[in-house]
Amino acid sequence: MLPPSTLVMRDNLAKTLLADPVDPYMGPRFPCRPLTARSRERHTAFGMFTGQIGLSSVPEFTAAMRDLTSDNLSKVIFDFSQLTLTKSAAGALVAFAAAMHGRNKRLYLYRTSSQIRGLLKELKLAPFFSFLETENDIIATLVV
Amino acid sequence: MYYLHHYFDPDFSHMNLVPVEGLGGSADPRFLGYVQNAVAGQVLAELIDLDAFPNVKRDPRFLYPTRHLPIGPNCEPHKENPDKIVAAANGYVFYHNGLISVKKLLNVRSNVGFHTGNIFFVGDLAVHGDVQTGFAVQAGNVLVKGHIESAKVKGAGDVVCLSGVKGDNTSAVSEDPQKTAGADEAQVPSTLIEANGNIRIPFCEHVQLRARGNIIIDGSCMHSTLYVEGNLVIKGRLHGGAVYANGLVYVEGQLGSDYSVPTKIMMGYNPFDFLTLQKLENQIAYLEDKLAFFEKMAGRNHVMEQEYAPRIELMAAKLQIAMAKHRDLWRKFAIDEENAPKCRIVVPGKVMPGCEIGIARAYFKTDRMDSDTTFQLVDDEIIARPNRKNCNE
Repeated sequence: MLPPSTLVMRDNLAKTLLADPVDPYMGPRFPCRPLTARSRERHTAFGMFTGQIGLSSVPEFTAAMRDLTSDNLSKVIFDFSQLTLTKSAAGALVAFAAAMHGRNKRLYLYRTSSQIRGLLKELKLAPFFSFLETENDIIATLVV
Repeated sequence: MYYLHHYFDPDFSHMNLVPVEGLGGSADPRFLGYVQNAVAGQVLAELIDLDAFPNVKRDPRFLYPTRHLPIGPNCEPHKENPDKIVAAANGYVFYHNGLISVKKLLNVRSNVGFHTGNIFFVGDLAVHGDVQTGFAVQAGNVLVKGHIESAKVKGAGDVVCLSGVKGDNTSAVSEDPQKTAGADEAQVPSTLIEANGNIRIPFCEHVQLRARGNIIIDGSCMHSTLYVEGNLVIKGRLHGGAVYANGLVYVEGQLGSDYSVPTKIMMGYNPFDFLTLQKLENQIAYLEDKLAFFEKMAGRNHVMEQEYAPRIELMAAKLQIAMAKHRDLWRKFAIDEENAPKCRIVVPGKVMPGCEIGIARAYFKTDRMDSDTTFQLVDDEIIARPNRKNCNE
């Protein structure tokens, strides 16, 4: 059993990750932009995407992924639980993964939807990505 | 009039690479964007009828008077929209003889170093030179014709090196980039070769090899750590280091060292469970040290206490999670009852004293020089018996 402080922190983290998509402070956003991509603490950026990313939204998707990164970050975690990707969007994800790999940074896919898992498996891309399943996995990756 | 709109950079050339600028304006010399990846089914280009869309931004080089799709190898028209060109395979996309082509094999005709940067490729990769210190390569199947220095090579399939692997004894390459920022798991191998399939190399020294398939080493294996789910064949010497395997270990030349360098072989368990366990143990030790340090700092005065409180909280949480995972793994850590009795260590050559062998719960330490011996588990004990050839004699 985790101590109460840890549970509070985990709940806060979950709230951050699962915040209301309609955030009045963030202004209008593109449908595919990360909803809660503001947490850049501990050298880690969190991004959550929803909806379906297809060919037409690939430039936005790419820009949104780029928005999450900055030079002092070492890890990026994407919550893909409410997202579906087409093969063109998978290509954009691979390009981003290549950029992260090139800069010696880590990319994690958190709670990946079954559609994305299936797609990555079909395209034989699953071994190129690291997957996180639980919030504890996220805490374990955070840098102190 | 038709215009061909590209979803990749048609002017990309790996001969004119510059470090790619990050968001903050800095550029990492290890990331040059050596290759434009394309995945099967990805739309690469689209033919647009300019009569219907007159305001499209256009490049005069890609204007066509007639409907023209420059489809090259491994590309095909989109099934639903024949004006789109999609990749038919994973690989890299480029223009070849005026046709959009996808090539599944990437040939790097130099060293992987500052001329290429780190390489991440979704197809197969052949490096004609070395993989130099500090660089990383990840691809499907990987062939390295030169040496692998203190670098990381990961293959979704097999990894083959034709010249050998000579790692560094220190942790120069961090598996986790944040390690350099003063925080994260300790004990990361400086040289790592990881394959979902098989690994074949001529020799290795100070390396960590991880293979879901088999490992074949044509020469000697020195001071290295090997995790192999399949079989391990070493045609030279196994000199120092540790082997975690769960099948057949065949050491043709010599098992153990002439100079009493510790050599260990552990079998009968899933080798990757061993790896996870070791990682967790390292992480727990590291986190405990760090937590003690933070608590010491926090105890200095009130300001420090406030500053370090969030770090201590997070560190304690990480420690708790790591310990819980460690406990869970220990609970699940069981002897592979099916494979343990089949585990064999076959040594046609010399066996030196001081080699430690573990198969399931049994433990054996060689205490004298021997030759042509097979070690195996019989009734929960490891027995060393001479090979059949000697018995017949």
